[in-house]
Amino acid sequence: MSRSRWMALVAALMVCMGTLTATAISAGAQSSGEKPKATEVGITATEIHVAVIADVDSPLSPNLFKGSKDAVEGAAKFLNSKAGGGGLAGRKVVVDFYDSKINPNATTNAEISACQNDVAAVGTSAVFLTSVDEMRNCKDSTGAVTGLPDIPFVSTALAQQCSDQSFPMAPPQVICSTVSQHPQTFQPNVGRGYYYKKKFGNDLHGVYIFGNDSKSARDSSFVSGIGQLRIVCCKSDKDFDLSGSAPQSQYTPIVQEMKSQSSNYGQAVQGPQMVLLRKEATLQNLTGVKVWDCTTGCYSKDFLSTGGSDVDQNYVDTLYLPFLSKADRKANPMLNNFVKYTGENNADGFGVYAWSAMIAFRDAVNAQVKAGGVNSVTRKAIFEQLNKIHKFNADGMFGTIDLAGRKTTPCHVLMQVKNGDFQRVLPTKPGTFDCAAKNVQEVKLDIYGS
Amino acid sequence: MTATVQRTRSISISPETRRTVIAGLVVAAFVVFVCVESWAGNPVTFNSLLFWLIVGITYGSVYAVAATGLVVTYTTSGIFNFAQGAIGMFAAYIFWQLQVQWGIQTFVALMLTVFVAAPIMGAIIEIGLMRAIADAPLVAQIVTTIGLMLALMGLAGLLWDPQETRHINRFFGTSGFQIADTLMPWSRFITIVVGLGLAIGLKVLLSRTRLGVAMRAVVDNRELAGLNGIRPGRVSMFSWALGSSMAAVAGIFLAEELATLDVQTLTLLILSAFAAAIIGRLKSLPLTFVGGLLIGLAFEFQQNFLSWTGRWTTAPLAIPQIMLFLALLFLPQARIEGKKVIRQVAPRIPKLRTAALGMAILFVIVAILGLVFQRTDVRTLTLALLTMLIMLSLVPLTGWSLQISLAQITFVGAGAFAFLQWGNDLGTIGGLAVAALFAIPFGVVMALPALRLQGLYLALATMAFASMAEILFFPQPEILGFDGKPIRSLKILGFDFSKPFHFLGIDWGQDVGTMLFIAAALGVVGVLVVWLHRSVFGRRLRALGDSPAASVTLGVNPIVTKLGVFVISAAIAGFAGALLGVFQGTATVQDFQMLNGLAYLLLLVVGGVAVVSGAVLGGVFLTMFTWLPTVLPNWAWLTEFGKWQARLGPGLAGIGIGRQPSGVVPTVGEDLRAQNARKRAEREARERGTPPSPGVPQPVSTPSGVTEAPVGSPGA
Repeated sequence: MSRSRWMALVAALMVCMGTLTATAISAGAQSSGEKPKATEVGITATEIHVAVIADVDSPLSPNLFKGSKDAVEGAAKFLNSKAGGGGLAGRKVVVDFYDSKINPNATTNAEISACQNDVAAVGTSAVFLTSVDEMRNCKDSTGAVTGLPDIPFVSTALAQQCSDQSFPMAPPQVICSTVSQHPQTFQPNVGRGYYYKKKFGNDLHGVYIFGNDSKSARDSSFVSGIGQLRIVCCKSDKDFDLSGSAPQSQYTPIVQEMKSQSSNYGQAVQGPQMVLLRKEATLQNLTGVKVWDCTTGCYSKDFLSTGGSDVDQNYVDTLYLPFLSKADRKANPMLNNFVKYTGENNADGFGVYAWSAMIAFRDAVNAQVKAGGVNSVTRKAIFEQLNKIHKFNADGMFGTIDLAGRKTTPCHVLMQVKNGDFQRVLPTKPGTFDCAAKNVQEVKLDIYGS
Repeated sequence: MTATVQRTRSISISPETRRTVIAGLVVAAFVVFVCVESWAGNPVTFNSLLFWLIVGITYGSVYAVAATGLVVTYTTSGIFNFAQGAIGMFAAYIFWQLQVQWGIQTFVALMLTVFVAAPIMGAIIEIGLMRAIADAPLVAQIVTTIGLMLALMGLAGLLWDPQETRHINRFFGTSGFQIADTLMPWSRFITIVVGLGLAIGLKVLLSRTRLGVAMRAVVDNRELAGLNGIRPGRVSMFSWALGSSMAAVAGIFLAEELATLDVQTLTLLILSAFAAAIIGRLKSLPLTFVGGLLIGLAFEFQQNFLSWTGRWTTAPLAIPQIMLFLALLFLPQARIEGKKVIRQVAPRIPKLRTAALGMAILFVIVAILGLVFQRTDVRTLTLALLTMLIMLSLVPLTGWSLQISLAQITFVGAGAFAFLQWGNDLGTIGGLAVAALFAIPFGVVMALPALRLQGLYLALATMAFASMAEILFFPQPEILGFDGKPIRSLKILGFDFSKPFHFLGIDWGQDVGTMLFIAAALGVVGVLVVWLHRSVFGRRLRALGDSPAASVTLGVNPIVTKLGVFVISAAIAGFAGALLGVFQGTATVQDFQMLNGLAYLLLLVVGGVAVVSGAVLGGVFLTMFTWLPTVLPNWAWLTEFGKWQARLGPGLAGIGIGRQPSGVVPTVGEDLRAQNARKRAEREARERGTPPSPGVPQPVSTPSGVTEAPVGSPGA
């Protein structure tokens, strides 16, 4: 046997031994003869209960965040399956759904119930969660006030966004330590702006359309990568504020403004807004626009079906892998699981965040099991583990965020609508993100007043 | 000399005209000020003005069509249809179902919707609901149509899954004709033409045809119209069918301008047409059309030439409400109606001792439930008590003096703000007192239109006021801000009511203290309201409600009385608002939206608007709709039932009041009293050995709904 073959054999043996050792350590930590038992509120010998609090059954806005509920329930099915590891910490994952109904009392009751029955709240999507006091004062099985670990998707109030007990999947745009300063510092992801600049040059200028139904929503759009793209590539000829329910005729002045300014850039925050803008632009024969720009609000089948050929060539930017793309689902197994277990018709943009929240919860629990065994999982331990997660990407389906540091992701995927479908333009390889560090810029604005 | 005096007299201006002119100048100055302050700096050119007119008229035409339907229904049935927007929304969904889902050709689908489905819907509404409330008190009419609106919104959400996207393609696609730089698509041109055509056509119908005259005659006097050979039922049904068709046209025109069909968007957009209907004074169709155009032009003017930033970002959303409020202020003094005497079941005024006993029993029940309930159920019960307290504020105002307020939620918000602002410095008791006081100026502001307006106009003015407060006042950073503000818990002498405590040897759980405090507050306010009812002021309020003209002749000062009742009502609502804020721990703009406030009036009327026990029952009803689904077993059919009752329940309850305008408590009480009296008479007759007299003493009803115990009856 030649010397090189010997060396290859030795190397292979070492790899095998290393793998076996690692497996043994892991198995020891997980089993080590330990039988799961009730260790915490929501953790029994056989089940681990998590809460999903979401606004679903409201008469005025029915099924608002049903996508979050469906995704968390889907994620539980996945985690309990063989492919997902057959449960967490040796127990079956059970989801308790609490409907917050866009109602303050129902929301608080949901928090109370979650505190009483569940080890953590995952994928929380409640508009009226304006105070985190209930979660903060939540007691564990020993009666000590530990708080309820919260991994939300929707966190409208600063109190939740910057709470040390909440780990938002969509980190707040503001850097929490600067909230009380004037001005505050924001962290928009403006990655797509560099692409536009490179492709179309420095002379992009046009209109930005924000929703004015709620000032806080308007502000958060303005300070994010949506409104702050202007710092990289696309100067504003004029900012427009328009209700999300405004009819198409109210977009005529905007199109006329674009005509008069010879704008070559147009952006709208919400999908329906973009559809109406594009339809009106077609109606008024507006030409010369190089970039029609939209973000996650436009990433849906509905955008394609309602927009039809009018939204062709529209750019759409997301901070997660495009789940409607078969190629991306093939490239990223977790993305495929999201669609498979949530259901093809139920999977939506909200769901991606809620599903990812469940994966973050899984990571925290697994880390604790690895550190202390299946009976060491408590709320306190989950907090400790969540606070250690600084790079989280839900097994690659989600742009990497600093979960514990509440820092936004530099990663994004830019797509363009072509022939009635979303097609990747940056990066083009399925399953990948553009994660250049420069994509996140710091901007100082005084939004929170004095 | 005589000729000079006559000439002077002929050019003299009446005080009312003078007031109107002065108010008009003030408003004009305000509008100019707003325009100057918000001017975006865009050049005003021929093109920009032409363009503004084109788009504004297009947009305004949709409002004009919707408002025309409102006016037609009101003129021909005497009922102002708050559900007009919801009918239009429902018709738009029907059109989508026919055209998109079932693939029926567009023109046929349009005809089927406008000329078949919508009229049938209108006829069913008329036969099933409106006929029963034709002679009901105004508040019952308003509540019925609000109930219909909520029920249709709930039903649409159940029939057409809101998660699914639906859209209607533009008629004639993108083809149209050019006006200057702007393309006018045929669909928008048709909207303008149809709006104008309807205004003219309906004007002719109502004034020049036998049918139109019959429609108006039925409203003036149903019986007399019948004696003249008119069939009031059929005419009224036709009116509602016509009004529904108008709503359908508006709904479809709006729907084709939207990216997706949405229940709330369609309903609320058409609600904006109320201002146009009021500009037309609910009778002039040409003026209504002009009103619709004014709304469209105002919207487009601000869109083209003004810029709103910072705290005023959301201000344009208030434009229809501001126009509605202004239109109401400029309405001529309402006529004093004396001809219509409405009989309804009359509630009894309990004795103070009885009221106190009732409230004590309620408190004891609440305390017992506090011991057995889980914390979430305790909170739900607390919310029910708070709802009762808020409803209680409407009892003197709407129940006795018949001043219909849809702005109660604004007083509640004012109280919550006052408590969060000053509660920390003044302590709980001081904070609650300030909350009640702070709401009073709001009540006074609302009372000012009430001095001139009454009935429906007052209801609409209060609705506009509440919407304006929701958009322009509460979101200010100095008030609640856009994200809301936290409110401290109840603390008196260091005792925190939200914490668990030990009393009478019993451990009371978390939040039970707050609940008991609120129950006690409800009891005290409830007894005070009964005391007020029995007082001289209470009698004045009832007199005002019965007949403003007659009350004036008896020496009642209507200005002072109206101001007084608004002050009292606002103070109670403000007090309740502070407690609501404490209960929630925060106060946000969303808590005090006008639409949320409608449910209070709706369920209070269901319970019985003139009685304290009606508020108690109304509070239970309102809370039950959201609470019930949470306690039902997790069986598929029960879950589905829970969903249906939560979406349809409040609306159906409101609709149901059409059959019993007095409310549940007075009606049931009356039935029980009549039954008892009959039994007593039978017993006495048996004892005397004679058959019972057919004339068993019955309580006597008065138009205000107050019972006078009959002479010789045991309760006298």
